Amino acid sequence: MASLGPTFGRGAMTNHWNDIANSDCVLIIGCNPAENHPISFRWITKAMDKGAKLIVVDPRFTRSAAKADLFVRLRPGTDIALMGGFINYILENNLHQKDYVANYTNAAFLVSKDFEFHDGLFSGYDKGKRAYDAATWSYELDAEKKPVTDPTLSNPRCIFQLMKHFYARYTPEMVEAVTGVPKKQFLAMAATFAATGEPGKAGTLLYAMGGTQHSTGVQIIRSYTIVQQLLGNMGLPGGGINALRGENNVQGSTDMALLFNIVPGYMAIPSEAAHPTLKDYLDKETPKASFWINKPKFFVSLLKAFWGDAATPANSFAYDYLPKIGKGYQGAGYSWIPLFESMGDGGIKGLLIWGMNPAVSSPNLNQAYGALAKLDWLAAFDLWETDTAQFWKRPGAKTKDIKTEVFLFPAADSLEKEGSVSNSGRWLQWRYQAVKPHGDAQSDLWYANRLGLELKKLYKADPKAVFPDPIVNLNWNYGDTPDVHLVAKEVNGYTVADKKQVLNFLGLKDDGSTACGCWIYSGSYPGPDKKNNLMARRDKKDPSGLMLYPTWAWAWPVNRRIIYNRCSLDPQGQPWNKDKAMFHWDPVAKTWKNLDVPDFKWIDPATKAHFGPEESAKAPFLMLPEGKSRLFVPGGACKEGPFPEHYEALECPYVNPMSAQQSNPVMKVWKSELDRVAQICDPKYPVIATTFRVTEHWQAGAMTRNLTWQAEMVPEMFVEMSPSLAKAKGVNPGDWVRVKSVRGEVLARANVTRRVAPFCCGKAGFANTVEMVALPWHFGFAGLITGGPDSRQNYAANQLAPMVGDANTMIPEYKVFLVDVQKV
Amino acid sequence: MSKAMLIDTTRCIGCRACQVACKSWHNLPGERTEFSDTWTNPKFLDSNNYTRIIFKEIDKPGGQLSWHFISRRCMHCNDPACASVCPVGALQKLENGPVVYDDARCIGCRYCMMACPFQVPKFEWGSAVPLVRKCDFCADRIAINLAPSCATACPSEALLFGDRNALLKEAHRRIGAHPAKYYPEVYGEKTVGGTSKLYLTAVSFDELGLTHQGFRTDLGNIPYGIYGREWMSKVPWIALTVGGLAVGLHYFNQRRAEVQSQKSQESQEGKED
Amino acid sequence: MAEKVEKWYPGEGKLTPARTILYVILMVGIISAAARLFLGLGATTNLNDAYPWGLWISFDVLSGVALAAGGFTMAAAIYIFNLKKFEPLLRPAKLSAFLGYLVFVVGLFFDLGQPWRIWHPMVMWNPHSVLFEVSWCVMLYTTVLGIDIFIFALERWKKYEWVAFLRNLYLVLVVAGVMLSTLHQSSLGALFLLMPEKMSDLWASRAIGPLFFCSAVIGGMSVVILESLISSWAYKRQAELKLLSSFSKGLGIALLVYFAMKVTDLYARGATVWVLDKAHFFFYLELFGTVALPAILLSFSEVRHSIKGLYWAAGLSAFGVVLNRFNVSLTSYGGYRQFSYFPSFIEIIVTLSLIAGGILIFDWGTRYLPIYKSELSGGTH
Ligand SMILES: Nc1nc2c(c(=O)[nH]1)N[C@H]1C(S)=C(S)[C@@H](COP(=O)(O)OP(=O)(O)OC[C@H]3O[C@@H](n4cnc5c(=O)[nH]c(N)nc54)[C@H](O)[C@@H]3O)O[C@H]1N2
Ligand SMILES: Nc1nc2c(c(=O)[nH]1)N[C@H]1C(S)=C(S)[C@@H](COP(=O)(O)OP(=O)(O)OC[C@H]3O[C@@H](n4cnc5c(=O)[nH]c(N)nc54)[C@H](O)[C@@H]3O)O[C@H]1N2
Ligand code: SF4
Ligand code: SF4
Ligand code: SF4
Ligand code: SF4
Ligand code: SF4
Ligand SMILES: [Mo]
Repeated sequence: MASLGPTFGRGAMTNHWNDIANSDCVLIIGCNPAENHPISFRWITKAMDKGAKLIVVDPRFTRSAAKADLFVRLRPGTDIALMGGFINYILENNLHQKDYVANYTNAAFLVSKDFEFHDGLFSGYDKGKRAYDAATWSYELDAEKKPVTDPTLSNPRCIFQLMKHFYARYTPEMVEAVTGVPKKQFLAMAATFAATGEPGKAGTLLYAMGGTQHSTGVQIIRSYTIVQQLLGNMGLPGGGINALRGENNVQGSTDMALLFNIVPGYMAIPSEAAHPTLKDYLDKETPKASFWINKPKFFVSLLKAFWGDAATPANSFAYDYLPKIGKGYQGAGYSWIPLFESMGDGGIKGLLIWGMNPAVSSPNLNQAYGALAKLDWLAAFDLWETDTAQFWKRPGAKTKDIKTEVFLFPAADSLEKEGSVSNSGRWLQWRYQAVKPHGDAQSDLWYANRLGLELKKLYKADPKAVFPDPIVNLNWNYGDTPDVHLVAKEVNGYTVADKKQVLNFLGLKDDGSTACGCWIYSGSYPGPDKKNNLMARRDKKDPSGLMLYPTWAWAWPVNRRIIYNRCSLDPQGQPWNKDKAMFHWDPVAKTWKNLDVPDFKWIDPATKAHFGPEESAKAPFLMLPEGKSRLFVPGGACKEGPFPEHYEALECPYVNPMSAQQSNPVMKVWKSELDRVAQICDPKYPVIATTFRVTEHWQAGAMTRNLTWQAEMVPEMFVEMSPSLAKAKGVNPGDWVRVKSVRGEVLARANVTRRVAPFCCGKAGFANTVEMVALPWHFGFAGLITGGPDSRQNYAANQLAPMVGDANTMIPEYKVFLVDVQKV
Repeated sequence: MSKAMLIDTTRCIGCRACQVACKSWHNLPGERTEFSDTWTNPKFLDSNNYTRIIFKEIDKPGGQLSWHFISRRCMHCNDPACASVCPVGALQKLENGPVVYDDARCIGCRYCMMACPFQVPKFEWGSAVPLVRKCDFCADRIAINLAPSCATACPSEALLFGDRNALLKEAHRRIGAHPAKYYPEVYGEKTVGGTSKLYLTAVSFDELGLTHQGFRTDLGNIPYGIYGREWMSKVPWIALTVGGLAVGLHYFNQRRAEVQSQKSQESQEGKED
Repeated sequence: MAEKVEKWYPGEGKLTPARTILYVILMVGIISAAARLFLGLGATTNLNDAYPWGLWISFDVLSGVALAAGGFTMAAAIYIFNLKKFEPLLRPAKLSAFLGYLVFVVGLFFDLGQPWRIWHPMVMWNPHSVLFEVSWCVMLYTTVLGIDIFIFALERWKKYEWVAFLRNLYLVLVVAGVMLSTLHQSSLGALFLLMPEKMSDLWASRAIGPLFFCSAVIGGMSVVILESLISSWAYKRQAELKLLSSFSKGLGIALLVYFAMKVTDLYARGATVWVLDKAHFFFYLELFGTVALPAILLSFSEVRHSIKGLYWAAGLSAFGVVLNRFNVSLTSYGGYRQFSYFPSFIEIIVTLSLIAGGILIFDWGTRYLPIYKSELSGGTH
């Protein structure tokens, strides 16, 4: 999400599941939807019925690859090189969508003279801080501080030319040297997908963890977005860049700020340093242009939702109540990895594990276990007694030395409670309770509500309580057994005076007269009654015939099904593809006819007069100040640089053929002893390892390793290895093998298959062959099946994976590390 | 109108939702299994597994890898061998498609298992009074106009439920529309006189090497039931002929014996003279 | 006209070593059978989904019935072909036949997954099913044999007017017996008409019905010979050698006919005969070792007139019939490549005890029922 935001303005799947059926070419790169998003294949297959081509780019031959017209096997962690080569191919052969690139991207913008790139490093790098000063990564501004542009795209300092020059180094030969993809195959792939650059054609790009779980994750996704911008694939039916979200409500949880760095609605969390006062926050965080100029309305309404009447203009809407983020552990914020790092240092006393099983899912487990053991208490809210709830009696644990007190709270599952779920396509779909919670399980909302009420009581009662106001004054009135509709209505927002639901975020004010729990969800519950709950709509009408289903559930923002949809029209307002038109501009009547909710300026709210297309052509990306999507990201919003550059993974068997800069220059490397990493080309760990999921299991496994129907299909931990590696190690199919990394080891049964194969990479002349193994990470040590017959074994793959993360998101590098394999 | 299922294996993504859905609808237990090298698991159909996905890796002509997912279950033959051989009529072909089984009739002779050309019926070997088990095409669901459980769960519409004729048309349409994608034959259209499960595959079952896992290609188009019925139709005639001959010969031979003994008497009398 | 039969009865059955062994086997068998009933087929046999039929079908059912064909063969010979001279061989043949069918019924009972439903075919009909027909025939034929044995009993009890009455129905019984036997003996073969693809083409023949019938006749005749030889040895009476040697001529002819049938069938189907593998080994053994060989043997009158010779010839051809039934139902049967089958101890012991039981009942029968003509007896009354 940290790449889509800076590029387009919003961090979400741009289209939605059904829409994939409208595509002319589907590029699956860095995900395996056949196994992890099976339902997507309903739509992918429909597209293929209509003649769409399917390309799968993956180090492994997956169940998705089995369905592909073209399978490209690339070395894990080298997507940027592949996409860089692709960008170069598009520009060399002039295959980009000219009108689109010129009008809807920042290709024409000039960049400051001082911007430089040399041997893997952009201008402004500070080796000591391992960080960039992004000052030089900026647009050249004219007198009245407007970016200078060259619509002809010929100025050598315009982004188009810079990009062309930058990616010229990514020749097909270089691509082959880095990724191991044979030139012929690379060109076939490039030609096939580049064909969607033709106006009227739409290509969609699907990605997930195969793209993100790298120390260069954000830039990998950035490289995907550049391709889609050049080919003019944004905002159209059957196009877009679609992040296949994971947990079934993870979209909802990020929207509601289940991340350390934002508050609900993707607004930055105030920081101690930068935002001591509300004024600082609003001034610094509100851009001069783009739809975000409304941020004060959203932010103040949020504060009102939090503290109700206690939030007054006088106390700047209780801004001081809001916790501000500090530097975090070793200055790295409070994301997953730093949390565990500081837990390991004893910095954290108690932990609420709410629907999570880090004892299997967290990287470098042996370190994670140590961290958990430092806690005074751990409370697990789950359907099962997970591996995490049992970490203190895991195989090899010195139980008597572990002081942590563990509480287990039985949670109601998704069928046992009512509420909304936000899917990957931004649809908020209302679910009803199918059965009453089993045993004395309770819904998460119930627990959260109790927790809130108890805390309020305790703080009220305690005279010596330090700064009780934020808790005591919390606007917390959902009843003793909470009513989920009350929560939903508060999230939608209302006018404080008369408690009337607002129609959508346009009704929000920055004077404290409105309250709203999450502005992007505003409009989902615009009336007082259950019948006003638009998330519960189940109407299958589809006037456009494009499977937009506008009256099925509700999509954020404002029920818009495809975002950035101005890009589906040429600057004159005519659809690139007449058969897939979502908007009709009548030049005579000067009016719009809309089949989706426009994501552009089309009507004056006051006068109700329609704006002409040329108006909206200026800013098809409303959320960005410049109104254009970004091939080049200015101002350090992406910490590694404005253009994605290929670096090798932290643990890697190859020296970077592209530059002297081996790995991500701004990647956070930890100081703790347990964060051991293998050397570059470490002879003790000569094999690349990657981790993956299978359809049959869910994540850390609690949900499937406890179900016999799932367990019988994939009962034991295994490792995919090529026949050549098996031969070299004297391993027979089905043998138990030991996979070791610097950090730990795991037992697995050998799945000897041609679905994985060795890679031959490296600069011409220095090329050498390296084997790769792949491990599913679903197994552990607790539950009906653990991954093997031995109760004294921990079968979790994450005993191997390193605790290093991407510089922007801190997402761990689960997808590339080094191991060795031995027969047991 | 006879119902059927078009199993387009080229659409199958091997997610095995069908396996789970089948168990869920029929309340079948999961089994303790071991790692399977091919990923196929459980490794065989049995009384707790009415359907399973067979995973098959084979090389394309070009030498590249191809991976096939083949759904295996009862074919619901139009003229089922199993039903024709069952001495007590416990197995019945319903005219809306399913071949169903009556727990209360079965004597457990296992002739159906011997006779089924697709080796489908399985026995509850674990039980002291075992019965036969197999895919029942969710006849109970079809009866109330629901699609079978597996077809309902299938995300990629690889299991298409409908009227047999319509599905056959659709199958041939697909072959015609994507000749490169399909092996130009619908397995089950004619095999053993036609079945209610119709298969589309990328390559022939011989090439897939599954002929010994329930997808024989040498079965011919004659319904196996016929062989038994043919014989049974002869039975009354054999009975009558044999019976008739027996009686006839009996009297004939008796008569001859009497005649002979008379002859010998007469000749003696002759001497007396 | 009820002729007052004078019969000879072997003396009291002392507990000779032979009998003891038979009793032991029987006991173990009964216990095993009980185990099978309570624990189920899966637990006690080696049967599996790929080999649903095993030893009990191959031996108790298929072989047992074939070897018990002596009853109707003799009846046919004597009453229909009026070869009255063979009468002395008739009663023992009937008794052994009856026992053979008991073995079948009991064996089947234990083989069924739902033994207590063994009667279902009587009320739940599927006229298309060969097995349905077989069960009916066997049921009826066993009744016929039962009546026969009952008549012996009546004679023993000197209820001659009853005997006389039943004797009037005699032709009906004989004809019925012959008819039913012809049907089910061949139908047992017809069972396999439905699984050509699972069988080796050495045995998968559309003519399997007639072949089964013919080999059943052979089985019946050879058993009659063996049974009379063995009993005379066991009861220390002189063998009815004259009778047997002329009877064995018939067996020889039957074997020749059978051989001809098989060869023509194989040739007609163009079966691949000349290969060397397990199946073919058993095939050669069957065709040459147990059909051709005894046929040749019996063509020599020395053989036909020597007890040893008869033992061999009849023994081989009887064994041949059993071998053929095993070949058809097991050797020939493909199953899955991943599975294999060899009978479990319980399967074997139950089968053995069925045989033991048969012999013991026979032994008992000969002592209490009028089986042997006294004219031939070694004298002592
Ligand atoms: N059945 C099932 N479905 C799931 C989940 C589950 O656990 N089980 N988890 C859910 C969650 S939370 C998420 S986040 C999603 C994740 O969905 P995915 O991202 O599809 O899941 P993965 O299998 O982790 O990774 C996908 C593929 O990335 C490939 N890959 C590895 N390294 C690279 C690389 O460097 N480049 C490229 N191009 N590909 C690479 C792997 O071989 C793998 O096949 O799935 C969701 N859906
Ligand atoms: N090696 C490796 N490691 C990885 C990844 C990888 O690709 N490779 N993927 C990473 C990714 S993308 C993710 S998202 C994480 C996921 O890691 P986790 O989130 O730790 O794993 P889950 O199994 O999804 O944990 C969800 C838990 O919530 C419980 N649960 C289900 N429903 C409810 C409910 O309604 N209420 C409550 N309270 N609990 C519920 C389930 O029983 C389960 O135990 O793993 C990460 N770890
Ligand atoms: S969420 Fe459920 S329905 Fe959707 S893809 Fe995953 S498993 Fe299938
Ligand atoms: S496949 Fe076998 S079990 Fe199924 S209907 Fe046909 S014969 Fe019967
Ligand atoms: S086992 Fe049952 S269903 Fe099968 S043939 Fe015998 S009686 Fe019929
Ligand atoms: S049709 Fe019904 S019984 Fe047959 S496989 Fe599908 S779900 Fe199972
Ligand atoms: S549910 Fe459909 S797609 Fe999934 S395995 Fe079964 S048949 Fe294939
Ligand atoms: Mo995830």
